[in-house]
Amino acid sequence: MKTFRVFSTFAFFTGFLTVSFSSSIGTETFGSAAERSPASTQPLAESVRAPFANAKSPLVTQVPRSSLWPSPSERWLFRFERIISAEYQSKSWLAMKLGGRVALESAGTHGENHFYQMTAETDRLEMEGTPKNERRSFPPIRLEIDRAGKLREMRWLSSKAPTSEDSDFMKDLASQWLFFEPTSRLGVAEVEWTENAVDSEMRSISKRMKRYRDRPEISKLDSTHEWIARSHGNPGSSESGYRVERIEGVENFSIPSANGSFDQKTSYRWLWTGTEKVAVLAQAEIVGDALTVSGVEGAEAKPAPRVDLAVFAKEWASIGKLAPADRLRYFQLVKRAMDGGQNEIVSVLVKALSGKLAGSMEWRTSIGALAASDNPLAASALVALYQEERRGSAEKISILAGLTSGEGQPAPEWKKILEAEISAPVDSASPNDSVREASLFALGSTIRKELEPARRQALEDLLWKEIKETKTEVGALSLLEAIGNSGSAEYLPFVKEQFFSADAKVRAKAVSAVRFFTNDVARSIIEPARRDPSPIVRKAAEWSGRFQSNLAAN
Amino acid sequence: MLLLPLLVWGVSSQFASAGEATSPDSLPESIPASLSESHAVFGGRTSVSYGLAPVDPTFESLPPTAVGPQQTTDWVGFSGMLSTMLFGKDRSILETRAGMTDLLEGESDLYWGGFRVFSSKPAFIDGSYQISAGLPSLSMRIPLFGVPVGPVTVRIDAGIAAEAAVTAKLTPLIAVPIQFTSVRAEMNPHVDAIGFVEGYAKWIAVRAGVGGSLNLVSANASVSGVLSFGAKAATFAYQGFIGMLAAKIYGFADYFNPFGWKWKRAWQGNFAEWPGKCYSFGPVGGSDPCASFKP
Repeated sequence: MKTFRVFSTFAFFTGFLTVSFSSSIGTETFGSAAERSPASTQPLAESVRAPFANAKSPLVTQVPRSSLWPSPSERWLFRFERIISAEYQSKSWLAMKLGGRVALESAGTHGENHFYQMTAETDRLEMEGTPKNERRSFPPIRLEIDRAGKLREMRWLSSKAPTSEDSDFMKDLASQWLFFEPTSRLGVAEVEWTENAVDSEMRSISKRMKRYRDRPEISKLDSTHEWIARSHGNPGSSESGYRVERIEGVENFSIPSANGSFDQKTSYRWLWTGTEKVAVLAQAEIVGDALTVSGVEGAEAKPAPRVDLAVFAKEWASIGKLAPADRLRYFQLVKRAMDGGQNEIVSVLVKALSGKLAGSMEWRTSIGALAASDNPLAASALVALYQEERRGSAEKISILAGLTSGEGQPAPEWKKILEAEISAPVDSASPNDSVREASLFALGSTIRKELEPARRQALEDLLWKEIKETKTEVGALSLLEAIGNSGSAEYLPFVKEQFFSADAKVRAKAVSAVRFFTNDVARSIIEPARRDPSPIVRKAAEWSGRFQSNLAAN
Repeated sequence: MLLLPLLVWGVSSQFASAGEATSPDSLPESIPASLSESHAVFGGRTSVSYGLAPVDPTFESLPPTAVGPQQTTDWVGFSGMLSTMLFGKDRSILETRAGMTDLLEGESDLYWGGFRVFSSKPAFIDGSYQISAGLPSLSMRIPLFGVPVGPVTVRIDAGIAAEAAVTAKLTPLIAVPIQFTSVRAEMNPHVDAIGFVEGYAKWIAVRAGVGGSLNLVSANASVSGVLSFGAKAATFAYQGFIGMLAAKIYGFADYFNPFGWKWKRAWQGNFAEWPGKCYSFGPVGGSDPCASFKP
């Protein structure tokens, strides 16, 4: 499985860039100088005329999903343009413009989560004033949006590994579309939202990033974004609603340095150009040895199962007595009911853990269920269980193992807990050392699962800190395991360094550590490892390679 | 280090005699390094691979000439592995290795769902160094796909749920003179995994669904070995059972009958039904453990 998280890296567009935005609204051309007008001369507030009548409740809830995302039978088409420029020490450093088309369409459902496919191509590129008209298509990506409207993950749909440039480009586009996220590639921002009615048919929502709390060095911040939807169809008819008409944004700022400041300006603009009807026909295709079906979905998903609480509380107390297959089916049912929002199950599970030993089947199944669910209450319960004073090492390790291997989204509180456990003094004879090591493995896994960019960055920094402080071989082995769990190529320099160790055991762990890395990065370690004189290193290469094949296949 | 050539020799000779596939109905004396069972469904392969071996099979599979002179390794032990392929999507569930020298140092490898979860430190109990790991139950979903059922394409929710506990034991059997001293080592992974598949779609006047019951694996097999310090060749034995891939996957399609204002079953049938295979290595608790393995 290849998963990309929005905002994680933006090497292609980040750097220190600036932009003076200009565009040709509503046309298919990049625009001549006469057609263009800098965005900075068109303040977004100009379009604001009157506040929306009922703008008191949280903003995002006022935008129905049908306005944000296409229905299963629609493909929304947009023209996009992006202008980027940067100056360093008041000298031009980069000036780039590009434009193209984006298509967005529904790609199925999973429970209450929805998938959308984004396809893009560029047809205008201008670098340092020199235009180049060349059409370039990018591998499509799939966005998974959960029931709260939040991005769960981004995934490439192409079996071929994308280049890092392609990856950055598509992530950048996706981040523009995901307008309602209060974050940007710079971090978590303090956001000021404004909702307005432009006229009777058009509504506008503006987002202003006031400051990035973790980036105090950023100055002269001018980060304004606007989302505009227009009503269509006859009011009251099934075809009526709002459609995204335009999104645009400007982000200008400076980063002072000793030799002069970097001044960055970027802007983007998307314009709706049409809606295509998508034919709802089954398209089944066997790729390799797996069946893929596209273009069709059930119009209505089966609701999540609900558990009869009275029966459940009674039966779960003796879950250990069930036959393994029956127990696992029950476990799966309970997980899905929690995923579906049946919060009461969480307290029953917590009660069922009382007095149970960490190795008991009741404990393991209940912890597994809490860790497997993406119910936020279950995630919080796992934290609370861990923090109970009576908790012994064996129970802590079991909870950490659940956190590491579970599918659920980890609670944010884990960062502090893991930090405290990892920074405990090293003493290999103490049971606390096992907790420390399990915490390190859990940290790696938590990095992999964390979608919120600032939190992920903080977790990555924590692991970096450990890497810098660890000097022993045993410590390096644990770190390689944590990196392996993280799947983050951020740590490639450390992995490469360890890969040249004289100790075969260390080399084997270094090869294992790249199993979840993207194919192109992992290949640089796995391929030489296949020819390593040590059999355990070759075996590790074979094992890592299997995960890589899965990434490509998924 | 002294143990290594003996162990490799012992394993090689063991596997050489165990090359033939094991009949599920017979009571084999030994099993190959891994067992797998595979079937096709929905155009994708569904399979289970389970391995339990006295030593890393790489020793046998990689010829020394491919990479220059053979280098010895200080890794000697047991490995256990469980992976499944569900509708063409491969998933590693359990990878575990307990080295005999590593066991004493508390370095056992344990990967659960592809993640390294913890190291189980050995405890000296009743004359043996023991490690044990009871893992929290695991759920892994597989990427969404669809399958046409009658007139409707049904989105499938599929995945794997698994539970496991692994114990490994190293018992020194000291004797004088020293060459009669031996070490008894044992690994016992207890693994169960099920697959789940459920799909449902409703489209105006048509609805359809897919459901399934897949017992991917149920294994409680142990491998043990006795290694002598030069006096005798190493010996290995298996005990327990492994049941694999018993499944039934069915589908249905209904249409809405406006005259009766109710749904009517238009079609139902099985996409797949597999009886599964069960390998028994001696009676457990006086009864045949394979008798209860069914979809």
